[in-house]
Amino acid sequence: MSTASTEKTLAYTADFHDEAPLVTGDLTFHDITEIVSVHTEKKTPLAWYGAFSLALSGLMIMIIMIAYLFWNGTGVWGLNNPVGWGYAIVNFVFWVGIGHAGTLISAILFLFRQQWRTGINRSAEAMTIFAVICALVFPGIHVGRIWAAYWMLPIPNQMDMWPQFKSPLLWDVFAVSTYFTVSLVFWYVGMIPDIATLRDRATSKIRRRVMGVLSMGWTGANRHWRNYEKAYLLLAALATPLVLSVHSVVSFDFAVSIVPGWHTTIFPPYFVAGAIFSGFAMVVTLAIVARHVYAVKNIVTIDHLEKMNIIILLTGSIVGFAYITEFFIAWYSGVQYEQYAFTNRMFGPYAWAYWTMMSCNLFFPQFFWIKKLRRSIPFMFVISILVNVGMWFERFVIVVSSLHRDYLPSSWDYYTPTIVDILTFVGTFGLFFTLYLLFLRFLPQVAMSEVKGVMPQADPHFYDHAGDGHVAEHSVEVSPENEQPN
Amino acid sequence: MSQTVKRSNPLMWLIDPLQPTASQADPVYRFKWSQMAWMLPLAIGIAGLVISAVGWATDSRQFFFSYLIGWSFCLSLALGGYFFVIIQHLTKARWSVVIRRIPEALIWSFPLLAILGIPIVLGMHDLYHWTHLELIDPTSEFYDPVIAGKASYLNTPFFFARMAFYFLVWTWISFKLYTLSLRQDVDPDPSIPKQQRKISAIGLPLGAVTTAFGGMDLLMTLDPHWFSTIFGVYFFAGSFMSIMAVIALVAMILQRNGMLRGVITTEHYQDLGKFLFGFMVFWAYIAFSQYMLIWYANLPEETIFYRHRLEHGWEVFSAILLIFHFIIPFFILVGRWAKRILPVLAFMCVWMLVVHWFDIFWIVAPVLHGDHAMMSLYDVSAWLGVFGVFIGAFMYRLSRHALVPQRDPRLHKSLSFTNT
Amino acid sequence: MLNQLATQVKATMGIYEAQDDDVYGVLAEFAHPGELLRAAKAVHEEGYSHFDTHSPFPIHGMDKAMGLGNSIIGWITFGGGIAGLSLATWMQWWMGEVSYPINISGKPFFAVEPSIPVMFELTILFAALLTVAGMFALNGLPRPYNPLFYSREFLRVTDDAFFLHIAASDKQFDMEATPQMLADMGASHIESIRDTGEED
Repeated sequence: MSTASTEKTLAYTADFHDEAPLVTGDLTFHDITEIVSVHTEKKTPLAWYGAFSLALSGLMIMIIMIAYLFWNGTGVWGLNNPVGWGYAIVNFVFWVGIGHAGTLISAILFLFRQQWRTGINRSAEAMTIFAVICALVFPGIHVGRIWAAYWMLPIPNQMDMWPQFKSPLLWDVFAVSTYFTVSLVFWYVGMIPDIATLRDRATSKIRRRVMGVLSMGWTGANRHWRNYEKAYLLLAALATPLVLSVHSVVSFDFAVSIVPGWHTTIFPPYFVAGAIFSGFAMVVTLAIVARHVYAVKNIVTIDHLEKMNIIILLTGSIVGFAYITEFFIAWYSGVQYEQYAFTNRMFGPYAWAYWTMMSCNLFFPQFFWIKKLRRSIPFMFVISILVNVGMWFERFVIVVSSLHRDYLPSSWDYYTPTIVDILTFVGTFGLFFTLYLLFLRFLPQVAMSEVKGVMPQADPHFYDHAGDGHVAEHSVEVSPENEQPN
Repeated sequence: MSQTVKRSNPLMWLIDPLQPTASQADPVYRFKWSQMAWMLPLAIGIAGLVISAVGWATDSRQFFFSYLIGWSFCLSLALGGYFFVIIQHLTKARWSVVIRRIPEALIWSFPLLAILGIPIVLGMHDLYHWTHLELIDPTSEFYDPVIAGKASYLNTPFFFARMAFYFLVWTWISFKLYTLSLRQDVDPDPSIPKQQRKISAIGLPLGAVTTAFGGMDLLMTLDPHWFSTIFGVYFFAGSFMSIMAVIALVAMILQRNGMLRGVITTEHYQDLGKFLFGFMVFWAYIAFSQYMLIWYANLPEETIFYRHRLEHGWEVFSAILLIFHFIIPFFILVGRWAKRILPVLAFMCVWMLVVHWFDIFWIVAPVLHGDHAMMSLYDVSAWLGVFGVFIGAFMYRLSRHALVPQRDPRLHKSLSFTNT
Repeated sequence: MLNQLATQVKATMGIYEAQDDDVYGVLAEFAHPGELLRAAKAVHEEGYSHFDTHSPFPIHGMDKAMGLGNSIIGWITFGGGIAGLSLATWMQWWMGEVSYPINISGKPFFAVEPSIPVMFELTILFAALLTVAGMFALNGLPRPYNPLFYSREFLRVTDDAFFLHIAASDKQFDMEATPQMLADMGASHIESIRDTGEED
C-alpha cells in the first residue's frame, strides 16, 4: 500500500522531532557502563562518609527512641483519648506513600512504554524499598505489647487463635508485606544484568566472587533475556494493581470506620494519587542531588525531571480535586457530623495544618504549568520538598482533625506530639538515608542494561543504512503479513 | 482557520463543523463505503426513537428513565473519547495515531447530544425527585429536611446552568481537538501538534471536573438522599473502558469494508484490548471500593443505594453486573490471544459495550422500579434509538474526512508500531 | 532416555555438554546489534539449534531471528495466582468460620467483602514469586560455572560487546566449518571455548 502519496505524507512527517533524546551527550554503551559503575568501584569519597555519618546519627536517634518506647510503653507518645492514632500512623502512611513512586516508575511507566523511566527507575525502586522499611517500623512499634507482634501473622499456635481477617489493619499487614516482598524481588531481578556488569569489571577476586554470586551467572544470553523480559513484564503487570491496592488498603484503615472525615468512598483512588504525588516529589528531590553529585546528568536529564514535575502537577491536581469533592459531598450529604468535620478542618484548631496542606499540595504545584519553572532545578527542588511537607500534613490533618472532635464533646482535646514522637520521625529519615547511601555506594544506581536498551544504537535497524546512524524513517512499509485476514 | 477547510452552515455545524476534506485525503485513508454506513444506524436509531415515542405517549415515566439510560450511555462514550484524545496528545502517544481519528470524530457528538437531551429536560419532574417543590416547603406534609438542605444545589435553574456549562466546555474543547486535527490533514502548519497539546492540557482538568460532577448530577441525584464521593470516578471508569471497545469495533468494521487495510494492525488492536482489560479492572476496583466501604460502615443513609439493588429481584441484576462486567471478561481478556484474535476481541468489545449500558441501567432503573425488578422494552428501544442516531451522525462525520490524521508527525511511528 | 531428556531441557537453558577434547563451543564477536541479529538469523537458517547470542541488553527481534517461540512463563504466573487465591480464600474461611469464629460488630464470621483484600494480596504475592522462580528455573540460573567465562573477551558482554556462541554439542558443529561460517558472516573475533573445569 506504499503509494506515492503515502510516501509524500510520510516524508513530510519524517523529520519531525519534538522529543528530546533520552540520553544526551553522544554517549556510547561503554560510556554508560563507566559513568554508572565507577561510583561503586572508586575509593569512597570523603563526602560520602560525611553524609553517611549524618544519616547514621539519625538512625541512632531512631533506635534510642524506640528502645525508650519499648522500655516505657506507648505512654511516652502524645496519644491520649480521643486522639488514639497520632504520629505513628501519620508517619506510616507518609512513608508507604513515598514508596509508591518507585513502583509506578518501574512498573506502570514500563507498561505504558515510557522509555524515559530507565534513567531513574533503579534508584526509585531502591527508594521504594527503603521507604517501605521506614513505614514498617511504625505499626511494628505501635502494637504496645511488642513481644506479641507476631500475632499479626497467621502462625499456628497452642492457643488455637487466629488473626481477625475482618480487620483492615490486618489487610495492611498482608498488603504492605506483599508490597515489600514483590518490590524487593522486582528490584533484584532488574539489577541482575547490572550486577553481572560489575562482576565482569571486578579487579579483586573477592569482589568478583560476591558480584558473581549476586548475579547468578548471568551472561546476557538471549535464551535468558527471552524469559527474563517476559518475567519482568509480568512482574510489572502484577506490581501495577499491587501498588494501587496497597494504598487503597491503607485508606481502608480509615474509610471503613464511621469517623466523620474518614468514611468517604473516594479514599482509595485519592490515597493512591496522593501517594504517587508525594513519591514523585521525593524522587525529584533525590534525583536532583544524585545527578549533581554523581555526574549522571546525561542519563538523568532535565527532561526526565520535567516529566516527573508534570506528573507531580497532575497527581497534585487530582488530590486537590479530591479535597474539593470531599468537601462538597460533606455538605451535600446533609449529615451534620460530616459537615462539622470539614468546616472544623478548615477553620478549627488545626486550620494551620489544613492550610499548609492545601497550599503545598494544591496551590504550589500549579506553578508547574509554566514550562520555565518546571525546568528550573532550584525551583523544582523547593517545590518537591514542599510537596512532601504538604503530604505529611495531609495525613496529619486526616488523622488528627477527625479524631480530636469525637461524638462526646467532653472528651474533645488538642493533640500535641511529644519529643519522642518527633525524634522517632526524624530518626526514620536517618534510617532511610543510611540505606540509600549504602545503595549509592555499593550498587549500580542506574539500570545500565535498560538505559543501553533504549539508546538509538541499540535498535538493530539503526544500522540498516550502511550504519550511517540514521534510522531509516522513510522505509516504513506495511508488509503483507500485517494485513488483516478479514 | 486555514484557507483550505471551510466551516459548515449553522445547521450542518451540529453534525460536522467543517466542510468535507475527504477529497484531499490520501487514497489509502479515504472513506470507501456507501451511504449505508451512516444511513443504516440512523434508520435503526429513528426506528428506536419512534417505538420509544409510543412509550412517551403511553407510559411517560418509563420512557423518561429509559431515555436517560440510553442518552447517558452515549454521553459516556463521547466523554470516554474526549479523555482518550486528550491523553494521546499529552503523552505524545505514537501507537494510537492511526486510530485517533475515530474518537476525534466521536467527540463532536456533544452538540447533537445536547439536542437529544431535550426529552430529559421535559422529563425532569418524573426523573428527579428533588425537583418536587413540596419537598422543600416546610409547611408541606411532604417536607424533607435533607433534600431541603441541598436545595441550593439541587434546583432546576442551577441544574440547567451546570449542564449548559458542562456542554459548553465539552463542545469547546472538542471543537478545538477536532478541527485542529482536520486542519492538519491539509495544512502543513508545524505548530499544530503544540496547539493540540495546549488545548489538551486545558481540557484535562476541565474535563475531569465536569465529568465527575456531570456524572453525579445526572445519575447520582436520581436518589437525592444518597451520596458517594467516588461516584464521578465510577462514571469515568465505565466511560473510558467503553471507548476502547468503540474504537476497536469501528476500526474492525471499517477494515471489513475494505478500508485501512494494513494500516491498523493486530498490534494496535492488542493495545486497545489491553486498555479495555485495564480499565475494566479499574472499573471493578472503583466499584468494589465504593461497595465495600459502604457495606463495612453499614450506615443507613448510604446502604440504601445497595439495598434497592439487592432486593425485589434486583439482586439478580446485581449478580449479572458483577459476573458479566468483571469476572467472565477478566478471565477472557487477561490472555494475549483474546486481544490478538480479532473475532474474539470484536465479540468482547460488543460484550463490554452491552454491559456498560447494563451498568447505567443498573444505576437508573431501580430508582423507578424499586419494588419489583424489570427491564422494559423501552429501555432497549430508547437505547438503540439514541445510540443509532449518535452512531449515524458519527459515521457520516467520519465519511467526510480522512480516516487517519494523515499528516500527524507521529504517523509513521504508529504505522510501524509493534508490541514487544 | 532420561539423560537425553535432561540434555535437551538443559539446552533450552543454554547449558551444553562439552564434546571430545573438552571443546565446549565457538564464540564469535560481532560489531553491533544489527550484525548480531543478522548473524543469528543466518546461523538459525543454516540449521543450528545449540547456539545463543549474548548481549548487554535484550535485542528487539532476536527471538524471532533465533527461531524461539513465546516464553511459557505466563502459565507459571497464572498457576501461582490461582494457588494464592485459593489459599487466601480457604485460610480466611477456615480461620474465621471454622477454627476461631468470633462476632465482630455483628458481621458474618466469613463474608466475601472483607476477604477480598487479603485474597488479592496473596494472589499477587504467589504469582510474583512463582514468576521469578519460574524465570530462574527456565533459565537454568543460578549457574556459577560457565565455560564461557574462560574467555577474556567475553567479560565485555555485560558492557558493550555482542557475541554469538555455537555449542559443540550441536549436530552440525564442525571444528573447521563452523568458525569459517562465522568468519564469513563478519565476526571480528573467533575463539574456541574449552570446558576444562579448572579454576581461573
